[in-house]
Amino acid sequence: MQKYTHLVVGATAGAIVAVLLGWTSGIGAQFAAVADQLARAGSLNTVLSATNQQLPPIMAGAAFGILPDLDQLLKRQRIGHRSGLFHSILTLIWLPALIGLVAPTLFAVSAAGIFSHWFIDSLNPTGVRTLPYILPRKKESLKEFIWKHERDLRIATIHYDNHWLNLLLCGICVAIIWLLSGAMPAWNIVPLPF
Amino acid sequence: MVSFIEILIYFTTIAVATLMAVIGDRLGLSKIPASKVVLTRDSPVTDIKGIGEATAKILHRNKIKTVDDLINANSKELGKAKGLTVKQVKKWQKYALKAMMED
Repeated sequence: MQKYTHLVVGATAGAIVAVLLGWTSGIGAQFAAVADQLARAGSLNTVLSATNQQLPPIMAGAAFGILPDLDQLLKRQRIGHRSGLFHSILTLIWLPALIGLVAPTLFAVSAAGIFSHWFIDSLNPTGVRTLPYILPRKKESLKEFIWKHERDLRIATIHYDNHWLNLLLCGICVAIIWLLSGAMPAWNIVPLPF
Repeated sequence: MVSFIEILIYFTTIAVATLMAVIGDRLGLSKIPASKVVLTRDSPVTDIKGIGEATAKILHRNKIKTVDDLINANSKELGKAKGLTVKQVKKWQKYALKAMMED
């Protein structure tokens, strides 16, 4: 999928985690603080200080939502794009665990953000990797699994160039964030006349 | 300190992904008919019409795994490999290029 889709879906994952962890009341305020500081100075340090050295869950979710595409930067090295290292269930295990060790507060948000990336990419024709040895028909080495891409799973054939579907997905996600942040009285939109 | 809910979220993502992988495999979701496949450079060679599992194995032995690898391969050299012909390779390359242009 497009990078902007990964960012928005990742942000939604971050927002959902924030709700599950009871951080909901902070989302709007943190967003406002970030926007204010970005408008004034624009440096990451001032943004972080505005949010008491904590990255807002939506921003963290968006960052982790795009993190697995790091392999595109490394494509010319040994790692192929969508290889097992960055686009598999193995990634969902090792990457959040590593992030959790370095920054425990980002543990759950990273797990959700990275999962969102894997899920969204499984909607592409190219598909994603799953787990080595989980599917009995796979007879490849762990090395092959880690460095090379092969389609283990795809649940749809939405081409990444299909901007309409990408934008539709983003729209749905923005609506979810809006609902979660309490910006809209979700269940009282049209008051009944009787 | 990581809370119980955070650990639960972590394991839930892994469990859901694993379940998707197993169900997807049972339903054959990774095997969509070639006629319905939209080719990209990263697509596996099996997405090309006329390349099945057996031919894919031969191509894999010759380091051809993706459509991109096949397009960039020297058809004369690849055609010399056991089980392949130059004519076949050129046909696949032509098909792949055409399918990507249509996309």
